[in-house]
Amino acid sequence: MARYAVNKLVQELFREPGLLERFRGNRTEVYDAYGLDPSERAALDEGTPPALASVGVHPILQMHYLLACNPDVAKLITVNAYRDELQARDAER
Amino acid sequence: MGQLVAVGACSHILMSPQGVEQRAQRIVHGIREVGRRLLARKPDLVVVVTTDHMFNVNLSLQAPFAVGVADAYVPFGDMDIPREPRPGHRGFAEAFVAHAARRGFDLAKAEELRPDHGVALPMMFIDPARAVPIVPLLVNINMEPVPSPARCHALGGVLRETIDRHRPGPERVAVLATGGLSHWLNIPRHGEVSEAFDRNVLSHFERGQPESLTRLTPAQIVEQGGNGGLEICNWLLAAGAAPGWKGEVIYYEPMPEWFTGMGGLELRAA
Repeated sequence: MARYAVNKLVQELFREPGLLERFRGNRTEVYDAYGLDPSERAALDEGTPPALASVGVHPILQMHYLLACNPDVAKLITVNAYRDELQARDAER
Repeated sequence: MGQLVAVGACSHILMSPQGVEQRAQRIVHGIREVGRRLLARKPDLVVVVTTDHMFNVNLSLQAPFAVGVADAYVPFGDMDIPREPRPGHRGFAEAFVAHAARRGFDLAKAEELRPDHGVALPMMFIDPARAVPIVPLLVNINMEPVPSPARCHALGGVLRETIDRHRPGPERVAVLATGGLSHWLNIPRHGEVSEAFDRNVLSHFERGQPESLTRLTPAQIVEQGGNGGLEICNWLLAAGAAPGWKGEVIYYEPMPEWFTGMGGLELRAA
């Protein structure tokens, strides 16, 4: 059974100002603040979907975590490639 | 009485077009075409029926349905979507919530909603001028128990009653459902797309019989279309507002490279 704590940490990464930066700078401090147990810390350190699933991270929040920790994922899931087209359309109006 | 003037549906994600340029272009054109048809009917507002991806409605408070009642919305900014404000329509949203309460739906109200890509991405293409007010209506497919397809469809009927009975005569309302089609996200079969499921869903809308899909349980939808496939509940809700209307599919692309089936349609009165 998943504990809420690990999901709470992940769902707040993009919502709590400064948390993502703190997480990137000192994970242990954030783990301590959220009271994560050793298995949850290991799962977040591994950071793969199977590891995240093993401690009950919600599938959508797994996606948040991958976006937060993996720039290659974030580069794929973005509208930036379509911005030129939108701007060209704006110019037509 | 107000008037339901247009109903459309489209997928709500885009990923890198690299390697899939032509199909990505067809999807973008498809979303635009859905929007062109909606806005051609000169709506005074668009009800956007979608799913929040746990940027607003997460595990801290799990509401089955939530309605944005704010005067304006600034996107959350996921997927690098610009945080440009879009007007809301408080009067319609409040009337809908009030009527729904009379009809057995106690809807959560949101003043501080910051729409994620479920609302913001399609609206970027549909109304880039951000001129038409929106009313976000969030269906929470990320909680247990998931609102049933039948319940979503029934709420669409209540939405229609609101328009018909509780809104001023000149008001013209469009409904846009977003999300889907099949995708399995971070569950077993992650990354699969089921073209069979997608085409079956689209076919039901084309025949004007989407209510048949309400017989599916959420578990059956997950089995056939993945956990992301539950977003067809958003489409079923929109269809509930337009009984008898038939769908014209505007685009469909199975996109295994994007881990999802992508489609869009317009519903038209028979």
